[in-house]
Amino acid sequence: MINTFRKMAAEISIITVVSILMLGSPSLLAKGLSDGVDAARGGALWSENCARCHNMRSPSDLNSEQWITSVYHMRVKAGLTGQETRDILAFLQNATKTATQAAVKTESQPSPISVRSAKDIYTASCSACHGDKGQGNLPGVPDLTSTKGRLMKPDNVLLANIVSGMQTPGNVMAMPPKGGNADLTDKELGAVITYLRSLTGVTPDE
Amino acid sequence: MKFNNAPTLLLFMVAGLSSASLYAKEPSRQELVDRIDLLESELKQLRQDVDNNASKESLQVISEKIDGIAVSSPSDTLIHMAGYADVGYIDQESSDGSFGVGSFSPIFHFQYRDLVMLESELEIEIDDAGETETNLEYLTIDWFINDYMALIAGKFLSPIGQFRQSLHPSWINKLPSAPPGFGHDGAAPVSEVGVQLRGAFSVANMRTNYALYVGNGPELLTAFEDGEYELDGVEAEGKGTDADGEKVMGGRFGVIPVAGLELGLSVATGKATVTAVEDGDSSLLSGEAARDYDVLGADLSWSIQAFNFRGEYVETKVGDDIGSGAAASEGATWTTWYAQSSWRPGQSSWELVARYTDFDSPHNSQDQQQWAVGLNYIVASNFIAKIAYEFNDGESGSDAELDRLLLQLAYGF
Repeated sequence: MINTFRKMAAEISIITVVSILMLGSPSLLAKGLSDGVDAARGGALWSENCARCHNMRSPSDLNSEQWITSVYHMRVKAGLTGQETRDILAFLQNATKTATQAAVKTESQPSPISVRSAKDIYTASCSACHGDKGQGNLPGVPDLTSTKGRLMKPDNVLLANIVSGMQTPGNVMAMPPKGGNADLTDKELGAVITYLRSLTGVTPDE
Repeated sequence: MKFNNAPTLLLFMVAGLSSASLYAKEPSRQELVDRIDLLESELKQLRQDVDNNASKESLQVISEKIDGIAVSSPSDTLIHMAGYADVGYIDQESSDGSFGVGSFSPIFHFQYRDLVMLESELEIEIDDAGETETNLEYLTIDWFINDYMALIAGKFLSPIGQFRQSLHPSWINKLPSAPPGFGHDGAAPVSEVGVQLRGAFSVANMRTNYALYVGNGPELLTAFEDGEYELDGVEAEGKGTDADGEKVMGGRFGVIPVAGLELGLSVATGKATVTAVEDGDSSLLSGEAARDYDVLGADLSWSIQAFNFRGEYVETKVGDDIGSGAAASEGATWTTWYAQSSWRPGQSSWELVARYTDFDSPHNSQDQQQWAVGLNYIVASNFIAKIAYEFNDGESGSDAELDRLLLQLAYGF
C-alpha cells in the first residue's frame, strides 16, 4: 500500500515537473489535430466520459468542424488530456462521415485492420456502446442479447443497417455508419455479425 | 405456258433453292453458343466498365470533394456557438401558478488551433417585473499549455464540486430546479475571478483530473435580524475586485477508478470580508477585518447502463470577526448535500428521477429539506421535457416549506 502511494506520488511529481518544464513549448503547440490519433480508443473514451454529466449526443448532432471546438471545450470541462481529446475528436469526425463516404473509402483503400479478427474489431469499434457481451453500455443503446432484438434481423439487413448507420425508433442517439470506423469492409462487418451471433446466441427465425 | 412442263419447272426450282442455301448457310449450334458467349462477355465487360470506371469514379470524386469541404481543411480560427435555454411553469403551494422563462444562456467559443480558446457564457433572464437581466456567467481564455495542463484565466465557474461547474445547465440537470444550497447565494461557491490550472493524467492506469485556482474570493453580507447583526450570506459569484486584498485558493481532484465511476474532493481556503449591511448601519463596516473562509466538498457519480447515481456535499465556513466585530462578530457555517438517482426503464426515452437535499444555513428561515421526484421525456439527447414535484420542509411560515410543481422544457444547442 505504502509503495503504491509512493509510486503515485512519484508519478504525480514527475508529471507536474514535466508539465511545468513544457510551459509554452512550441513543439507541442505545433502538433496537428490528426497526428497519432486512435479513433477506436476515442470511441471508448467518448462513451465513458460524456455520459458522466449529460445525455449522449449523437455524432450526427454536429458537423466535423463544430466538433473541434465542442470537444476542446469538453477537454476543459470534463478533464481530458490532450491525447484523449484528439482521440475522441477523431472518432466523432469519422462518425460524421456519411454512409456513401464510408463505402467509397472501403472500396478504394485497403483496410489497415483487415487482418484483425471479428472479435478484435468488435472490441475496438463496437463494444464501447454495445458492451462486451452486446447487452448495451449506454442509455438508448439496444440490448443485442434479446431474442426479440436487433439480431433477429437477417444478416443482409443487419449489414445494410451497419453500413448506413441507423436510428432506432424511440432512441435519441443514432449509430454512425460502420460504428464510426469508415475503414471497415463489408466482409469484416459480416464477420462481426457472425461473431455477435456466436456471442449472444441470437439468430433469426428460419 | 404448258402445264405439262411443270415437273421440269419444279425440278429447276428445287435446284435453285438448294443452290441458294449454299450461300445462306444456317449457323451451327456451336456457332450460336460462341456468339452468345461473346455477347455475354461483352455485356459483362460493359457492366464492369459502368460499375468500375463510371459510377465509382464519380462517387470517389464526389466523396473527395465532400471530404475536402467537411473534414480536411478547417481554418486555424474556429468560431462556434453553443448554449442552452429553458422555459417552464411553476405552481407553488399557497400561490397561483405562473409560466416563466428560465434563462437563455448562449455560449461563444473562439478557438485558434489547439492553442487557445476564448469561452464566454451569457445568462439572460426575465425578472418578475418583466425586465430583462443580462449577466456574464463566465468569460475565460483557455491556454492549452500541453497535453496535461490548461491555464484558464478570467471569470470561471467554481471548480468546487460538480453541480455548479458541470451539472447546472437546464438541459443537463435532470430536475427543473437546483438542489437547495447549490444555487446562487447558497453553500456552494458559484464562480470566481482569477486564474486556474486544469488538466488530467493517468496514475497507475487510473484516470484523474484536477483543477487548482487562485482568485479574488467572495464577499460577505450581514443583516440586522432579531436585534443583532448576523452574517446573512456569502456572495461567491466572481467579484471583479478584491475588496480586502486577500486571495482565495482552492481546487478539486477527481479520480475515475473504473469507467462510469468518478470520485472528487474539493477544498478552498482564504479570507473574506463583510462588504455590505442589509437593513442596517453601513458605517459599522469600518471596524471589519478579513475573516477566515474555508470550503470543503466531496462528490460522487456512478453510471451503469441506464442507471445513474450522484451525490455531493459542500460546506462553507466563515470565521469569527477578528476586528471590532460591530457588523457581525460571530462566524457562520453553511452546509448542503444531495443524493440523486435516475433511471431510464427499458432503455426508453422516459426517465425517472428522485433527489433528496438537506440544506443547513445560519438562518432557520433558509434551512430546507427537500424530496424532489420527476419524470422526464427525452425527446432528443439535447431536448428534454420535465415534470417534477418538490416536497419541501422548512421553517413554518417561510417559503422554504412550500411544495412546488414544476414543468420545464430544456434545450441545449
